[in-house]
Amino acid sequence: MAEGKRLICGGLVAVLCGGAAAADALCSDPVLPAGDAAYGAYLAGSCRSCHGAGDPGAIPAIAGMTREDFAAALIGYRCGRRTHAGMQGVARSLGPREIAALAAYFATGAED
Amino acid sequence: MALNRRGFLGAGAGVLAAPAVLAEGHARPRVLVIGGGAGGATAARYLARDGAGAVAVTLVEPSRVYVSCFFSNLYLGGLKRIEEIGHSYGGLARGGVNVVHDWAVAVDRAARVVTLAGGGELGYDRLILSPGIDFVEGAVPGWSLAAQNAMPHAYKAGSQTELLRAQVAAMPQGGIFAMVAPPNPYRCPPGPYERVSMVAHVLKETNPTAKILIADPKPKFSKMSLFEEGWAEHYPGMIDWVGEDFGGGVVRVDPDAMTLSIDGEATRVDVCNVIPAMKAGRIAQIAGVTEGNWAPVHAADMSSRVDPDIHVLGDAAAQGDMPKSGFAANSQAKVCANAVLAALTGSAQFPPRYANTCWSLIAPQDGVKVGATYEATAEKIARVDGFISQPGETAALRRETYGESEDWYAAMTADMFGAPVT
Ligand SMILES: Cc1cc2nc3c(=O)[nH]c(=O)nc-3n(C[C@H](O)[C@H](O)[C@H](O)COP(=O)(O)OP(=O)(O)OC[C@H]3O[C@@H](n4cnc5c(N)ncnc54)[C@H](O)[C@@H]3O)c2cc1C
Repeated sequence: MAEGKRLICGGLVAVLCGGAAAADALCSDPVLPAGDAAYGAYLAGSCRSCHGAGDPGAIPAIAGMTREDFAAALIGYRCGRRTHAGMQGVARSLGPREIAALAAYFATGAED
Repeated sequence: MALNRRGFLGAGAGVLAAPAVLAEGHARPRVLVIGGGAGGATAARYLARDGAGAVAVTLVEPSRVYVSCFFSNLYLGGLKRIEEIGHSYGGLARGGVNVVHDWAVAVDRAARVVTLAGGGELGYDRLILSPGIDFVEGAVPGWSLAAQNAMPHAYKAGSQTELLRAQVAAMPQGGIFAMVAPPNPYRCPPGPYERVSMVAHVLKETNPTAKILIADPKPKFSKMSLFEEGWAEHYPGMIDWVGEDFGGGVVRVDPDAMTLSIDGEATRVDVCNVIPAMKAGRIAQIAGVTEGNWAPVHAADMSSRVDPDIHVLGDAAAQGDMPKSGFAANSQAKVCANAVLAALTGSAQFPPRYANTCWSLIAPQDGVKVGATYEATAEKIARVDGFISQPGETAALRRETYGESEDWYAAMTADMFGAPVT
């Protein structure tokens, strides 16, 4: 959505959102679509390779994070406000639809 | 967005694919997984869990305990006990996977039946092969499976790894540990060099005048500058790497005389860790889904390019840019499980996602890593974006990186096997 400053994505329209322009918009004005928790449940599989249920050590536990904290953390990595080479790469590979889906899924508490 | 060849139907579209296969006479579609390692255990677990009983999942794996190759070098370095890297299949069984401890020995693709060494037969609607690697016969002149007790590979973890550790412990003072490193592509690109690091750590403590000699057919190797920097710092003068330019690929071993010849010059050694060239686990070849040494797959769902009812995961697959790692196999398994469930039950199929990180330990608390994200294209799994540890990092950062690998190991093995039954 190169022309619009704000992302208004939800439902079917969400598939139109993504790519570099969306990345910039996420950094300046992070408005996320409504998250699809079923998609988030699938995407969470990637998180589980590293983020376990054990005591938080070098890799923090992410189960049970609120939607807001989760989205803010991923957007922070994506936009370079949080630095971790691996997580920055992960966050760059996620569009607004994916971040919203993950945030919605983790907020369900299904991973707790 | 890279599209699945069967078509991506986003959940937002509100349309579900029709169940493609439901063989008549079977209450539930059957998925058969061969090999209970990083790829196969993950696939079986995700199929049973996300399928919630809609598909019948059977896993065929000969071992009762999976000893992971990942962290087996840390066991060689005395930093882990063997029990810490062993995992039973009880959690999978409890999670609804029918675990059959046997070898698959034949695949009848027309009838969709797999024969087991014990004589049983298992039918399938989808077959997932994740058999890991086997060695290319004759790759290292003088070495064969018959010689693996004198000259262990320790590249399938378990008794071989324990043997190698015992051999290092029994080395005479000032003795020589030799390694014959493999040519590309092989499982775990930094694995041989992490192993050298861990053996050097043991020798530094117990046998400081010992030497390590590596014969390598490659001109360079994974994380080379990081390993070389670490070796110079932690183990000065101990490690001699002979690469392709100096004849490192022209080797011959004599397991009776315990000699290693590099470019015609024979050296008597005390331990000889021979890691031969690799190929897909033999059952992939028997199934007829290999081309050359590996099994080519579609990046969208890890399905075989030879047979759409078969998927190949992990080390055995020729998929493109991902390294042959446990992390990669685990990542591929989730994409495959989602696609197989969608095809068999009509559940939502989501776009493939692939990622990898390989941590290596150079000395206790001195961890490094390399990683990348990937996307599925029509040709292959293609690398998008990556990162690697840098030379000269602080000890604190290296300690943090090592801590990450500990957390990854715990998370990934739980992701593969589920919670252990206590
Ligand atoms: C020393 C070393 C260190 C490593 N370190 C790391 C690391 O730090 N991080 C990382 O990500 N990766 C690491 N790896 C790589 C990792 O171990 C492999 O890439 C990973 O195990 C591949 O998964 P897979 O499912 O393809 O094969 P495997 O995990 O090897 O599983 C294959 C399974 O199939 C079974 N099998 C084979 N044939 C049959 C048959 N005919 N019938 C039934 N079952 C069969 C085998 O018994 C085995 O259990 C390391 C490897 C080595 C050797």
